Amino acid sequence: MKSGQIEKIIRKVEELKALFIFGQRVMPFLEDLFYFVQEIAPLLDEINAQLKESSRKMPKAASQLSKVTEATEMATTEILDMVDGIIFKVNGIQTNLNRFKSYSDLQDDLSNRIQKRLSLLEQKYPNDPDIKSMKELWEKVDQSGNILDPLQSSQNYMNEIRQLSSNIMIALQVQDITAQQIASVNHLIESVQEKLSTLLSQLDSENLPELTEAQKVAIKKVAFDSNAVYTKAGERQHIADEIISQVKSTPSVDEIVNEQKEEQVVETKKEEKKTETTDDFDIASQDDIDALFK
Amino acid sequence: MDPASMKFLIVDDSPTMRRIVANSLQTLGYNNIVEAEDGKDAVGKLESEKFDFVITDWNMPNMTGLELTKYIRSEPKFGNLPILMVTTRGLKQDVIEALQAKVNNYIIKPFTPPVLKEKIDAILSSLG
Repeated sequence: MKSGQIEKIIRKVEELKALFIFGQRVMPFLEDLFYFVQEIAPLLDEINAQLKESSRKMPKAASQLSKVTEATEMATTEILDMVDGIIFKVNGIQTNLNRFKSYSDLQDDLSNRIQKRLSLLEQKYPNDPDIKSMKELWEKVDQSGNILDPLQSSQNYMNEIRQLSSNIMIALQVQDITAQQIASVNHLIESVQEKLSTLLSQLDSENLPELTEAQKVAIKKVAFDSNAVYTKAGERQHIADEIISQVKSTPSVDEIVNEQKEEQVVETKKEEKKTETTDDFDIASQDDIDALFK
Repeated sequence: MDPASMKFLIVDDSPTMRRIVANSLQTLGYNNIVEAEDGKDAVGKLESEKFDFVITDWNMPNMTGLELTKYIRSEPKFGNLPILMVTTRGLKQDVIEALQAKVNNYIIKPFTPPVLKEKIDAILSSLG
């Protein structure tokens, strides 16, 4: 055997020795890892089962939310029908009140003419007790027949009812806004469901059941604004009006767009300096909008 | 123009909103009203009937209010047909995007009849 070969064998033996030493050192860690995996396995199974269960429930949640939208839409329609009914009846009462007013005006005219005639008769027959008595009686009739004040009061009430009905109708816009918010939540649920399904298919060969046809029908695909909010009418409109007035006071919309971009760049730089993040949106007021359209 | 003779097209996917806008228009004296449930439906109606004013929502399936506005402005046959956008979208960039598409004015929901009247009057007076 040559000396070169012996050196090679010795090197291999040393490598083998190093491997055994490494194995000796790694063994306790491998044992720990083995026990850890043994302990964590049931927990992972539990997480897997929970994920599967939550994922199965999601379509039901989405479908129930869609049903809420349907129910509120139906209820809103019923309320609108009733408001329409109230307005129709108020208009009917208004027509009757107008008739009373015409009748009252005619009565006043006739009363004045009778008064004048009685005055003439009284001048002609100053000592006739019947004429005197008739004149006194007619004055009482004239005073008791004054229906203008209650008429005016009723008309004021009618106007108030009309205004209140209009306010109810305006408040019902909340249905459209909540429908959009619900659609936004449904979209979110669908996205989470999709991610969970992908995750579960990687963890488990068993696939999640597909949505039933009934569930697919219940979850309506609707267009929505995820930022839709119900605020007191006018608050956001002012900001929008301001934008419009700004655009109207400048030669073109593009200038405003460029200004907005510059503002955004400056704001981004400021934000970078502050190293802060914010979820605030740049909300337009009605004044902003009006300024754009002037 | 005489309010009674003006023909309005209300475009909104929400039946509630269509009804509220229609009722508001009626209280303002505008009684000639046609409804469309999205931009696509509105295009069909615009192609077959003549309208004097369009009130449209933004977020709608099939065709949005913004797409409808762009379509109307791209067709010379509609001339300067007034378009009023009534939407929940209240971000500055939304308003600007609508202006770039050439809507005549912009209302953020929830709106009140006085605001609707103010915007309609402003559009009509600006168009002479």
